[in-house]
Amino acid sequence: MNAFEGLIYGLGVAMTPANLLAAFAGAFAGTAIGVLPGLGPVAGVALILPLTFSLDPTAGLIMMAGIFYGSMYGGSTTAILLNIPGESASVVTAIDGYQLARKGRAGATLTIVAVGSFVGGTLAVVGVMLFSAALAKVAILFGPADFFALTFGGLMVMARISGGTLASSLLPMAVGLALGTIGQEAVTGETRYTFGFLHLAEGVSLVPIVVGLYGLAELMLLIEDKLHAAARPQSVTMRELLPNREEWRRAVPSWLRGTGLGFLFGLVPGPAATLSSFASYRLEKAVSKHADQIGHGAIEGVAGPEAANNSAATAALVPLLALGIPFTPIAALMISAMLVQGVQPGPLLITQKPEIFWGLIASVYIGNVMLLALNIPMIGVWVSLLRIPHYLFLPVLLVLSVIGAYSVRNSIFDIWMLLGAGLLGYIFNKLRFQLAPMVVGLILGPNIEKHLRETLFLSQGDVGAFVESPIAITVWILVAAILLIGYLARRRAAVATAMAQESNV
Amino acid sequence: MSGRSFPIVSGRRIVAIVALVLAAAYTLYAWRELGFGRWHRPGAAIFPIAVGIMIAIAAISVLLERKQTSDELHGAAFTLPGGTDLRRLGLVLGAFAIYFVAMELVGHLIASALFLFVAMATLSDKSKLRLAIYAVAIAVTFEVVFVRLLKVQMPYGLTRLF
Repeated sequence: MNAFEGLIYGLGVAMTPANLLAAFAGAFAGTAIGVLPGLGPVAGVALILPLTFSLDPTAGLIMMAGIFYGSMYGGSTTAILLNIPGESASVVTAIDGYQLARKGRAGATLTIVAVGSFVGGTLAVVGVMLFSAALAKVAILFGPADFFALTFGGLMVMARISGGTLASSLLPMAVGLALGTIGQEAVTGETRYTFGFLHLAEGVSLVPIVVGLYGLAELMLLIEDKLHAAARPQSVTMRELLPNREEWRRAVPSWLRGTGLGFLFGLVPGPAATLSSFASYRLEKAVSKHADQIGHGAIEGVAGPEAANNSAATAALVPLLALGIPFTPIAALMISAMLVQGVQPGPLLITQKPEIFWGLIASVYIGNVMLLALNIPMIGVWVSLLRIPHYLFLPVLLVLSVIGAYSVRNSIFDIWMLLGAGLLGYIFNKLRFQLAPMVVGLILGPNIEKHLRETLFLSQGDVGAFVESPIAITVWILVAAILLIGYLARRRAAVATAMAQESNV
Repeated sequence: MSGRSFPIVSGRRIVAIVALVLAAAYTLYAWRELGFGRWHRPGAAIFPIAVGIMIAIAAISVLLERKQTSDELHGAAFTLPGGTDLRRLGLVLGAFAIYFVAMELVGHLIASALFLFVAMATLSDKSKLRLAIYAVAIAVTFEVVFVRLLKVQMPYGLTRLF
């Protein structure tokens, strides 16, 4: 089955009533999650994860993907109307989006963002369709040393480019790897770090950790910050939603540039959606004819970054579908859902479960159309969600987080884990440690250990086996190059800052 | 927002020291309690020891961060809540923890209604009667949607008897 035939097959799978309903429910819930402060895309997907276990695997994954890109759409609404980004990828959108709203162009900006997200998401799916199928064919040839290089090297790259100092990501990543070692070990059956707690024998559950780190920690910040609760958005009428001809004309090149840039970022391990939106903003500042207006309310400043973050979010499906390797917390949750449903992620997914592989890709096309239909005419509904008082929705979200965390294993212990992860996330947020490497470390840790031990076992203990195959060598060279480029770029920036300070003195 | 500011670099160093102590305990456990195996058949201790060393390296890296670099990349200070903000956060978190314990005793429906009421009353100065009605209505809605319709298993506690 080539990519085109696969897409036709996938459309047949995605267009069944149950899967269409799953895509709609996911897109709808995702937009609401993105709009409401306190629950970002990651916590939203984590909360819905246990509910997908009762669905057919394809429908469950389609719903999770819908929540993911729905929340990417929704996150920009608060950024534009309230100058409060719903999630980190919308931080850049807030700069020009809020300025445009203050100039009375809130409605038109929301439409440009919704169409831009549609363009970014839809064009990126074409890339996902072509890349994933081709990469999956090659990946069948990968051995344990190659997978070790991909997973561990990918984690190192993620730690380098996640923001802050290297240690800001390395420490949470190592903590995530350590959490992944708790429980019964797969090869010898030994239990590790359980200290007599039976609940820990099965390992640490991903859902309470993710909901705690991303959901509860964010809710704690909202509870302590009463000023935040006072923010109220302006109303947006249907008539205001139509951009003028000038705005359409200026947005199109920015959408296309953002889409291309976002796709490339999506293929690299790390917070691709956030990084790509910042990179797109800088690109627009460099190439736009209206660069002088960017930062003061230019349509290019929202069109490019929004297309970029949706394109990157969609492109992140490539390593997930082709290699079974998650490099974002959401991809980690999707892998976790596949495992619970008895679906083995990896390069064989395309041949063993084509309905999941192609159904998921096709559903992104359909989901993007649904989101466009949901976002523009229903903007009034989303704005009204922002008017729900904090004293109502914060406790409701806390109860929802408990239901989500408890329902995975019906364990009170997991709820205490939720509270512990929430406190850790709160401290890490305050001290600017990165959370994503911890989640990805937790989910990739057991795989990295498995590939490490398999490589040593198959090579009779020869450590050289880790850098013997051409694939592993290529991956390590790429990892080293990315780490070196990151280091040199940071050094150059530091030298430039020091020189600027000296010349000021 | 009332609160106290602290240097971020000091907070990060405290976290690094805690991580260093935990890394030592974690590695020591693997060293003493888990099997090493051989190079060609590695045991359960090998990976945790490597991870423990990685945590220690990361923690030492945080300790060695220069203040100027840290301030440029992470900001100079962080704020912890104080006064009424701290009281509000503490009350909601305290009620949240009691909710976990109460859930097993009185069941999820009653425990969530009680928690919702306490949390709403802490976050708002609206009439207590109105908040109680909201709390019960939301708890019942959750029960119907999640427990009855979506078949999510939540603790019944003593309500199982009725």
